[in-house]
Amino acid sequence: MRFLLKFWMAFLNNPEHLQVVPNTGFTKWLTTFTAGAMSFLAVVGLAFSLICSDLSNEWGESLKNSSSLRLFAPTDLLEKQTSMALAILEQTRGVESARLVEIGAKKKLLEPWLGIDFPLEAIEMPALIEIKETEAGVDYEGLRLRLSAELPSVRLDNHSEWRRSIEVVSKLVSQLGLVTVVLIILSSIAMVTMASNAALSANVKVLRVLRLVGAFDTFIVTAFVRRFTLRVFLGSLSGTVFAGLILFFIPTFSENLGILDDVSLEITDTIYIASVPFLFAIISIFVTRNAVKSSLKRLV
Amino acid sequence: MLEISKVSYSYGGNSVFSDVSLSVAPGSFYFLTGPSGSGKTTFINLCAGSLIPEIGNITVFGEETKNMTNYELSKMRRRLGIVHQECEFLDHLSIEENIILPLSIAGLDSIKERANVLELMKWVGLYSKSKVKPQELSGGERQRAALARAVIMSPDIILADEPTGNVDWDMSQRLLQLLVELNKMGKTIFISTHDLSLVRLAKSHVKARTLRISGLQLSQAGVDL
Repeated sequence: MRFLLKFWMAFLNNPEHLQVVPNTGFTKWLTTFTAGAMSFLAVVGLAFSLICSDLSNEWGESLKNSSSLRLFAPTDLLEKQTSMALAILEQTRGVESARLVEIGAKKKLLEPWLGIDFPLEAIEMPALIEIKETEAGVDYEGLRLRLSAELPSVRLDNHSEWRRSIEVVSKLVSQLGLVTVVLIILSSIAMVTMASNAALSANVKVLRVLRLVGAFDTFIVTAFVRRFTLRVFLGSLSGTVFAGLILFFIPTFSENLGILDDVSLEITDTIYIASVPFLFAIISIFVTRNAVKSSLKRLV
Repeated sequence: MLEISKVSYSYGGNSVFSDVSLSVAPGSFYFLTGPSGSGKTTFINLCAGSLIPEIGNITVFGEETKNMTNYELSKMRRRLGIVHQECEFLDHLSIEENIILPLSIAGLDSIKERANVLELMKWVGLYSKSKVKPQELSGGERQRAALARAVIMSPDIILADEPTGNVDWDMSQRLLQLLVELNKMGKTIFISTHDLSLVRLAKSHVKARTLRISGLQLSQAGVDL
């Protein structure tokens, strides 16, 4: 922490740090490109994980304490049986509300598969009743028994079972995303280390000259750390912004499809993603510091 | 000022010199001669604290280099002016920026010091080349620029390793003249060279001692050089 503070103070105060390390050569682009590419991958991996986690939570919440009832009957009996089913549900303990899903809502649900203009009214469709439960929940076995006795054509679907499956799968996907992010960060450390070492090898003469003219090791370390960290930060910022823009426009592309509408980042997710260039900068500070220190040790 | 006491040094078991002792007084002028590979550069590097003796001690300004931290070694180097044969510079900076570099990194880069740098550049004959990059200079100009950089901090001792190694005789004379002038200002000069004619020339201007490294030993060379 003390080193970070010292580095920050030097960053603000000493322009000669930047002056002594050349900002040219292939290593400049190597470091910047590496940081940019790895940040892009890290942001995509992180967003992938965060979106899965958000979707899982969202779907879980929407399916929490909910169930549905499908009612199959000839058209002339459908309305009567629907009213009977709604009446039964009103009398059932644990049911907070029950409402018939209107044809417009059904159309909306099926739009991605059947298209906008599909004449859903022309085909025989079961009536669909959405049930919201209280926290205490419904006695499903009791309700099923009553429905089978009074309305045999009714099917009761408990959404908790779907919810559990969705939660398991999305948790797995989310964890996979996190593992990907961790691997990307570890690879980034390796890549930034290699880029820093390559840059240092190309600048051994600068180290020798600085030693010759009486520069303190802390000055040399800070000068290189400052130059390389700026490169890494700018590269990482570019990669993050590029990935962020793509993620930002994904919901726009999917707008007319009716799917992936929820593929967007929350404010907290954006904060995590915005922290990627800073994380890369911190990695660069420590990696470059160690690389310069070992180069100085080898220097005659 | 500079004490070398029973110093031995070797590279991978091959001794360069052994049991060498020398005491350099302030304001003196030394030439260190010897054939190629005899250890002249190693000797200069030991005095500059770039190498640490395996056996014996080197004391610079009253401190043993062996016991110095990296920080203390850097501080010591600020009181030494070092000129190497290769004359390395920061290629992305101009000659003026390179010469002022020791001041910049010591935080002494003031307007007054900048004016002094220009005076110094006039003294070494590089005033017109102040904005030029090091790679655009000739060998002799690089040597003079390296000398200007070495003296910018007004060091007490100037260690020069083959400063005339890559230049013609006229330029060697000019460089020697600059070093003689520095010595007359009270600076201690320690030059390694294989060019004996330079030593002879120097002795006509200044009281210079000549040391010779050969057969692992450092000895006072004859006055007939």
